[in-house]
Amino acid sequence: MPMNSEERTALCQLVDALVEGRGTEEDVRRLEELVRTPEGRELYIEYVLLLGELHWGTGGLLDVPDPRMRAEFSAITADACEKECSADRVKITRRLLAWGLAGMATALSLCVVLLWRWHAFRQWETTPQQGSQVATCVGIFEADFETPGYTVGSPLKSGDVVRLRSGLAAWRDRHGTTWTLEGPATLQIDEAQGVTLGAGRIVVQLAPGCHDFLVKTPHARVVDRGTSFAVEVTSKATCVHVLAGKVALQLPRPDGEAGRELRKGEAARVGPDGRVVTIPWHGDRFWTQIPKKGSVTAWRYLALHDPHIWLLADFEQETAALYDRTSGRTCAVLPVRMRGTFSDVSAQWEVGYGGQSQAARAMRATRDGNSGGLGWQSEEPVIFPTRFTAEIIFRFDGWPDESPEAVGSLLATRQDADRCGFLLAAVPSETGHPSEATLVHLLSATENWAQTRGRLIAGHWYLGAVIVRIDRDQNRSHISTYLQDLTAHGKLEKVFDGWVSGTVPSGPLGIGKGFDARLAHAYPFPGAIDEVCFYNEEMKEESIQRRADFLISHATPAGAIPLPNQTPEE
Amino acid sequence: MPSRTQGQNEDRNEVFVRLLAGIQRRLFLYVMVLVADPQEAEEIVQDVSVVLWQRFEDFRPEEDFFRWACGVARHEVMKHRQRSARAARPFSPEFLEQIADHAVSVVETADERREALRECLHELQPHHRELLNQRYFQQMSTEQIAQLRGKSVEAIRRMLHRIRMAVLKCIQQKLRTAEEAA
Repeated sequence: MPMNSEERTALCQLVDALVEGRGTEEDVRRLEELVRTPEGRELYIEYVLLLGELHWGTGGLLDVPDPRMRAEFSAITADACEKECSADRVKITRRLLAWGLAGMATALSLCVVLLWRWHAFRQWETTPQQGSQVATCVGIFEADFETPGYTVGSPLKSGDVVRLRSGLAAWRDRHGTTWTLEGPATLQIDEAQGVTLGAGRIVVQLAPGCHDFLVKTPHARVVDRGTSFAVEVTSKATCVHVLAGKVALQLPRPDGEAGRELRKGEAARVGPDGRVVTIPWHGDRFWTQIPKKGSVTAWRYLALHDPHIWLLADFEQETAALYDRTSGRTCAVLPVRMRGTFSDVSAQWEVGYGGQSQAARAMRATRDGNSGGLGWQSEEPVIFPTRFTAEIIFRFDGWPDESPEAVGSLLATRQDADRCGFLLAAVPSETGHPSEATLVHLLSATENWAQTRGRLIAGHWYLGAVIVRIDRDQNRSHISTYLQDLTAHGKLEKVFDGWVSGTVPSGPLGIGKGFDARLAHAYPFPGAIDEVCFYNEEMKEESIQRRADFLISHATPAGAIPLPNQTPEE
Repeated sequence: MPSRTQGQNEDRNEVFVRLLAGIQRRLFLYVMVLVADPQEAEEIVQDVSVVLWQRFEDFRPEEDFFRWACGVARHEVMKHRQRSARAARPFSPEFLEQIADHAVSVVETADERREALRECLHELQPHHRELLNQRYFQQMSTEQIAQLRGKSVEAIRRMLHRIRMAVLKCIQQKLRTAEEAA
């Protein structure tokens, strides 16, 4: 049975919804039904191809005249010239000859002018003139420009100087090469294939098939050989980290080193003296794309730029590390398999919250209660200040079995046999259902749990924040705890506010695990850990809320696709 | 002086880059048909490019490079579905089975379609072209366009949808005419 017009419209609207990220599982099922017939299949493919061509690159279709069109235009004018010339040859009289010759001269002049303009246009296209558009802004994030006017979609022209005070901004040229700038930065656009970075950080990602993109700095020239790379410029040096492929590092000083080629995973520093020094690769610390609201990367950007940021573990590399922003050092975060755990448990990684980051699994064994499973622990002890805040993005997977005595530790420390610190842990809820949990604190082995109003549901991602103020004289700590259900688009709620006995001992930091009274590893958390962040300050609720807002995209959940509405809205 | 092996490797590099550059757009379009998500399609195409390079030694010159790449792409789409929470609403394997083979032959005509698309875009009214320009070349979101034009997001979505449907109809017409003329 052929499709009616409503079905055809519905099919295309369903495709629109999916392509724009608004589609639901129900929409997918409806679309699959409509595509069962050959006609539906044909329409689906043709419509998606249309959307694909538009997404691939409309510039060549809409704005820049096509070479064939230019050729056609030239052919049309040449044809017109020819017709004018030949029409005058039909009747040869002195007058006609005069007019004919005049006509020919005019037509020839017109052809010459048009050809000259076409040639000039071709040169313009291949060698952009001063002030011609080189790229388009494709994203900004928390960006503060010295000169306003940079928005998504705004053009960047050769000769422009971008002064980005803070935040991130990205541009893409018509070939698809993208550069992402991190402020504070100053960037001058030299030409279609080159920029001068006066200060700041930039990541250049070349479109396939492109190469020789040039980044000039006060200390060196970085020429790309078809790849992606990061450059950081300070007053003292230029540092280059190659993310993929290779680059040629050229030095402007004739008495310095000739230059060097760097490959993926290599980094080098060039100072004012022209000396090239190999440095540790830290390409992972550059922003290669604009974070999107509703993603961990957006949250992480804000966290890293908070003046009180102290420790961060993001689990993006498969060897996790705790990065200390105050000292610049990192210490490893190692997986710990608990004794009594079945032997096939090893470190696992999975997609984190929002699908744009990586998370580490913490696992709970189904036997031996609290002493079997896998968690993570810092290799070196952490020394906690009197006031600090811990944030953690995690997913709770439910208890493997019903166990009223289960404890799953999210963040814990240990100092000795008696002093343990469960900064944040989960215990079964009052209902005892395996898919539920309650958040608790415990800073003294001789005390009961301090129970919060924070409830966890299996399968949900959460942001947890624990604000701690230690009173060592009274051997107690004031804790304020916040929880936000990210999966349910919930609000940030304060679930605990009060004093608990005990202080936070310095020692190895357990992430997704704790420690028991016999100094053994215990209390694995059933779930995944995406990010852990510590600030050396009692953060205000507004700060936590601001970062939390960037974890929720506030996208309106897609409902049923409406029937076609023919009312014009132009 | 480069060694013979180095010269051969450079030739192989050049051949691969030339072949890949020649199919990249069509490969993206093919993957787009399988996932209906341009960002996911871009990610998958990058993965496919790496796999194609890694397996380039297995490629026989008498084969069609595009079709060979499509086979790799189908496999990478399945792998990506399993790995990525972004593909939270993936198509069923049956759906992929239905469209994957047919999509290859349709995408092979992409150059003719692109030419028809170019002509159809130039036949649009200027303010419709401008709207497409803002959405696809300047990569503004529908929300940004709505704000710029003082209209609701839903109105902009409907306008874009009608313009796309009109362009699709135009393309189909041009291709039919070309086929009849041939």
